[in-house]
Amino acid sequence: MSVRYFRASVAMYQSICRQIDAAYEYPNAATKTERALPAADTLPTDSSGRVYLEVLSDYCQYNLPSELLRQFLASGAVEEISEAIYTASLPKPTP
Amino acid sequence: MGMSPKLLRPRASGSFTPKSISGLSAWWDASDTTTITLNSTTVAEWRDKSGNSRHMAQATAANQPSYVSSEFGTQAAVRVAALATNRINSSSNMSTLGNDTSQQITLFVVLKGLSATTNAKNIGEVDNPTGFGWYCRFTDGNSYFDAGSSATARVQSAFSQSAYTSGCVLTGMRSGGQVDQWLNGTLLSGSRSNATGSLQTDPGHNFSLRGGSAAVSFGEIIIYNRSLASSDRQSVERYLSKKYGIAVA
Repeated sequence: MSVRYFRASVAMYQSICRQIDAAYEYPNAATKTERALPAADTLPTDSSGRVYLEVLSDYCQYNLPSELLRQFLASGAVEEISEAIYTASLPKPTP
Repeated sequence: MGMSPKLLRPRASGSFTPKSISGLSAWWDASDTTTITLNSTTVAEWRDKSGNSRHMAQATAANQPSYVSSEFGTQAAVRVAALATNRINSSSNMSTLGNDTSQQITLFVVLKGLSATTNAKNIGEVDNPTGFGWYCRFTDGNSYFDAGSSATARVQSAFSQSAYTSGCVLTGMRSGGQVDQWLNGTLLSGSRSNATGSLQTDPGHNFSLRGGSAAVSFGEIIIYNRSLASSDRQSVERYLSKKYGIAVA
């Protein structure tokens, strides 16, 4: 399984989360799944207020995420980044 | 007329299960589909069969491990991906997972590494890196069993990469100051006899499965809140060996 990395503004990311959750009817008590993607406040952020997300490529290939991802990448609302850029966004460990 | 010989026969004891041994603290069995809640093909909940309700869960779809129906021959597994956020964990009711007074615990894991890469952290506490935990790391070809908060409770053992990637039964045990680990029923090097510090399996610590930098499949995890005699340890290992087709000593 490979991993893909993205970043977006907090507002855009939250909008994406709402759209995907609505499409999948999350939260779903039967499947015990509350949301599709991690909450924005659990993700690394940069000084520009962008959140950074790592996602399995398999998940990106599901029908709905793949279609939405195609649209968001095309519009520039979501930017796909390299692992190096993602890693650089992570909080540095305290000495 | 005398009593029928059938009435004098001892009742059949039944086949062995982990519940046959006292002190069962947690038992997760991927082949028992009644204990798995699926969200399509991913695992939202993996319930504990021990009766202690130490259920593991992951409520975010993108972070859910996958369910593999035939990972160990015909036996299923919960597979965590090589992604830090891909994990399943229990954050409640973890008290007495081990005995934090006498510092005793026995842990059996059936697992298979999808690749032997660096620094794969497979099982154990997420939020307390100095507490109870167990991981395999192949930068140096070792398996590490952390049986407590002190470095003296860590067993570092040379480990077979081929065993790891073909599927194996790992056993870890702490009994006070003594810490050991076995691979497929054979004692590994590096045992400790002077372990100090608490197991730290008390409430507030999050027991989880994750692949870290390598994907790992878990078939079954069995934990006892005490150290086991050799005969009992071997009974569990042989139960797992027979079920998963992994040869043990």
